[in-house]
Amino acid sequence: MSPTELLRATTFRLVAALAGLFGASTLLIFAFIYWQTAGSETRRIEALIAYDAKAEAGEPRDLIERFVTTRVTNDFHHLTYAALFDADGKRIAGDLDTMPPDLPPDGQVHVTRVTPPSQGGPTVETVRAVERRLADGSFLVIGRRSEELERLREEVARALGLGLLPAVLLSLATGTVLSWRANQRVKEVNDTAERIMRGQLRERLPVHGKADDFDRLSGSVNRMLDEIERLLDEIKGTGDEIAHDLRTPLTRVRARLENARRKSNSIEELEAAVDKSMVGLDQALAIITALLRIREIEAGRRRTGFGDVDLAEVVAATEELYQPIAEDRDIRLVTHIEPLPWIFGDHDLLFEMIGNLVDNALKFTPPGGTVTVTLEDGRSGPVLCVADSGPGILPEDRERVLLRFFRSARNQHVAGVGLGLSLVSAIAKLHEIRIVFADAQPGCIVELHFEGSTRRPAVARSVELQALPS
Amino acid sequence: MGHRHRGCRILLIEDDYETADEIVKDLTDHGYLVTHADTGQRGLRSARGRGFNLLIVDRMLPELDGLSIIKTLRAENIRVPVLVLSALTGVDERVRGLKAGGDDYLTKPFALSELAARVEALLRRPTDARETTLRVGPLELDLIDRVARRKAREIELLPREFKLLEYMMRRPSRVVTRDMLLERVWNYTNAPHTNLVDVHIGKLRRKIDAEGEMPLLYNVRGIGFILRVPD
Repeated sequence: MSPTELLRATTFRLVAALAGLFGASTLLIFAFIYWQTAGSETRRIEALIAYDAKAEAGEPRDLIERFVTTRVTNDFHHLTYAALFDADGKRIAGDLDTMPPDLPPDGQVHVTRVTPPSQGGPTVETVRAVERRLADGSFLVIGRRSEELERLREEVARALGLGLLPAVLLSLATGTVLSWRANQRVKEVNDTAERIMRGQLRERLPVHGKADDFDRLSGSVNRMLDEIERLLDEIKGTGDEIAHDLRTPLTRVRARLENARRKSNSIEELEAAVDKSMVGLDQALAIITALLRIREIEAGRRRTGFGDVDLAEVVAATEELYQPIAEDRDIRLVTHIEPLPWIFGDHDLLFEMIGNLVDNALKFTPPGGTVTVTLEDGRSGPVLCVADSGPGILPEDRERVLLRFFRSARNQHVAGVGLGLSLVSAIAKLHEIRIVFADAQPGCIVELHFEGSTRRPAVARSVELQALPS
Repeated sequence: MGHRHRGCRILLIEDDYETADEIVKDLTDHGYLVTHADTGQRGLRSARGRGFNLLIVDRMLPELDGLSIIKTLRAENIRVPVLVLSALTGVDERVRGLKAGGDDYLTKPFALSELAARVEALLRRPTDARETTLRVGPLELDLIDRVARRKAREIELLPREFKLLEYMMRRPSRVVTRDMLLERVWNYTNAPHTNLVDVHIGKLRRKIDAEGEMPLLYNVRGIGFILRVPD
């Protein structure tokens, strides 16, 4: 990553702001420490000499003189000055030769310059000093050298200054590293996204296994990519299926037309061939329609048509629709319907699903047989059961019957394209219905367990019933 | 059968020339005067001329799509019946087409006979809905007492059979197709391809055309059914 890119990065700007904030707060803390150490030491000393001067001023003259002398004698490190001057400014006692010229005798601490008695030290010193006029007109001066205090101030300031620099540098460095690392992750993601956009759909964003923000983000983007890939595969699958399964009927139609064109001896023969071809074309179109419809249900997961559905009514309507066909084929179509609470679903799709199951059952049941449709309240929701007395589904076929175009070797003679149960499966998935196949010995039982369908409160129904004219 | 439609003018708005050609040929054979427009704008301009008894509008057109044409016409208070043609199969699409102001919706590909039957159904509106008794020859349907009779013989009908017969009797001497019946009598737009309707019609026929009686309900081969009194 180039330096400008690094500077532009949001993370870097954030880090710089944080470092600035950190530096400022450190500075504030340091100022406080400085004020608390060097400052308070100065204030303490100032208060002390002011207090001493005030206390001594009240004492008798000889005690003051003694105080000054003792103070000077005991000051081995030569930190303080003390002196007594008469009203004319002549020294009486102490270690100052002359009165500091600009020091007012107000009992307050002032910074001033004094000339200490020459002992090879500096000739002029900056001191903090107090001067008081005594009752007899003489002056008491108590001072303390400031160099030491200044040094303390300087040292504290230098120490803090030295501390501040590395602290800010460290925060900047940490920030830069963090920002660089974050940018590396962003770059990785960008690069991967580029590759995906260029068509490498199996690429996934890197997950570093740290469960950090980036990992979580990458995780959800990856899941989204999985889903997109699955949908794309499905679309491709649909394309393949359509291509594959249309080829058969279309090849047949083509051959028939070609033969008719070559060999027909009469208009009637030609017409018959055209009629047959149209049937073949219709079949091909029906396959496309059915596949697209299954896809629409499967992929869309649309629940726009969802509402309250009375399953009992749907089953009754299905029975009414298929009863004549059953009669036509000499099959008994029996229903046992238990009144149930309404479920939440798509009425038309449920009707289509149950219709397909009954249609299938009738198709595979030989004349004289029975198809039984039962709707009852199961433990975890309504259970719809369609049982026939046909040949049943071979155990090894049970998983495969829901696949598209699956047609058992046993039933090749029965008309159909093998999409009915796929449609059932798609609608069931949309409604979170579990499909169970069982053996009716002989025959097949298909059970639909409405487990996911949310039940609506029974109140809704009773209101509707009351609304009907009696 | 062409003479019945003499003078009926139809505007076909369809951008595919071959499809349009076949439709024009077939409808002309049925006796209609068909005008063809190949883009949405041209179609809309022609439709505004108000000289047409029916519009057949393809949904996807260059310049202006079919549904917009219908919406525009309806907004201008032009009430001519419209049949929508579409390659879009979704249930939603159908609803959208009808909501936009279409009177019927036919999904491509369709049989020409299906189109002709629907055109006829739209041009010859069914018997007045306020009528309380429907009559076709010796058949009589009392819509208030829910009783069907053939002369003096009372015919017992299940509720759906009654609805089926009512639909047919409101459209006497007209071909109704299987899909039309599935859509209008059963509200079923995605029927599995079985002989459902045929079986129901067969059952109804056995009830209304008893042995020895003159048959009234006929199959029209490859298209659908017709209820009529033979000449």
